[in-house]
Amino acid sequence: MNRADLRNLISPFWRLGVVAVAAAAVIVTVGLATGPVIEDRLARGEKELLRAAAGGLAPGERYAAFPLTMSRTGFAERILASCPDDEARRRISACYEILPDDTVGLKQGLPESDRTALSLLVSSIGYRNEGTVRAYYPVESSGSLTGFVLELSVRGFGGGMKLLAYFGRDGVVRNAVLAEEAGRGPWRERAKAVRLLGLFAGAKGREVPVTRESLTGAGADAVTGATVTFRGLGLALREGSRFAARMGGF
Amino acid sequence: MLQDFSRGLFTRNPVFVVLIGLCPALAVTVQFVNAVVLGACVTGALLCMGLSVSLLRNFIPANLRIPAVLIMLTALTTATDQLLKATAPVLSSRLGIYVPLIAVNCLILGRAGTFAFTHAPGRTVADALGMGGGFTLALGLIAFFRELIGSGTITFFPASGYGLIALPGLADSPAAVIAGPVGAFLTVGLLMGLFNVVRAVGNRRKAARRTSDDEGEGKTEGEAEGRTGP
Repeated sequence: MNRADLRNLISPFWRLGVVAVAAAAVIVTVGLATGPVIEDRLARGEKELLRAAAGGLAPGERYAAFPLTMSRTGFAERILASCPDDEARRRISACYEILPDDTVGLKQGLPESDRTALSLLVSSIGYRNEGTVRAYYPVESSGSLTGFVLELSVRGFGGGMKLLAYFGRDGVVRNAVLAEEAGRGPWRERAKAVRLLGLFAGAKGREVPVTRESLTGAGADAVTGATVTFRGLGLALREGSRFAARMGGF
Repeated sequence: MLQDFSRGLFTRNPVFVVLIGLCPALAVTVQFVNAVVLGACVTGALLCMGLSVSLLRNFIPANLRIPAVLIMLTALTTATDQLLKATAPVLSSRLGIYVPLIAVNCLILGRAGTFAFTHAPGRTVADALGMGGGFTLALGLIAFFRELIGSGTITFFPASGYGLIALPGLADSPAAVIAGPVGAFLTVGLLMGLFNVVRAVGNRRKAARRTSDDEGEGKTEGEAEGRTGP
């Protein structure tokens, strides 16, 4: 193979390489210019949504919800006893150095006696967060804890959804906004139009409706179709209500 | 050059005549604004790609033009997607996967891979504007009818509450099937039929005019021959 053949063989590849480098340069330049803007916008959007969910109040810092949380008896009381004031109670996971989102970490972070208590509670009447409650934001008004905005994972008809719901310390649903929806479609617009999420306000625990039949009032007729989504929302809000009530000490 | 432009708009309209780019035409035409923005993105991509390929047509070897076009188009689409996310996040989330999918849009691959590789930048720009305009026109028409009948509204701006016209009566009880996938096929089919009828009528008129012109010319020639004859 002489030099000319070699040049003919290599030439197309270096030309393609030049095109690839130019293309990569375009992507990097645009990425550098737009990246911070997108991040900033996302952060601002999240804050606005949280504020909307909390009815105008500014929720505090985000805490990841651990999969296994407090039970009705024993463990919850002990945690609450060691977190007597609001300041400590709102950071309940920190009280026992519980590692969020990690069951093993949760157990390892506890003293031996509590580890046993936790196992007993979980196997008996323990409240189990199956992952519906992803995170919580404490909400304060005039210096005292009024409730929590919970980040809830909802299974709807069109796919997963992220719901931000504001609960009082007693677990009563106060407000909810839809933050993200995987399956887009007319349902979202419809939900906005009939203020579907408002139909859950005021309910707590098992009172939160999960079927359209259990709805009363003018809103009931407006909810047509989307049975699976409605049930998903109801179940997630029930779960959230229980979680908020435990966190609030009820 | 004018012919290059008008060809994409009417006689070789990508959606109604050539039947390419139908995937986004069916998927994003639920709202008018979505269709127009996607059309604008595709037009922009066609323009940039056409111009780049046409300018580099002597640099890129013929046997590597498809990989080269794909690399350039992917970079361009990624950049467009990022810019849209930064400047119009609501629209970006509504258009979803269809902006990144411009990278494999047959219309752009076809025009960049064939026309731009064999023509000068001027003609390529005219062709890109025509094809992009035709694509946007088709998407806009489909979305207009789908949104009007399927939701009873016309959305001109993405932000809710602004630029939204709700038609009294129709907005309360719209024909929701038109907003769904079945409605997309129905609307595209009906508009395609209508477009072809208009084209056929136009062609027939043109042919008739040509025939009468020919006859006229024949008569004049005959008369002229008569006058000059023995």
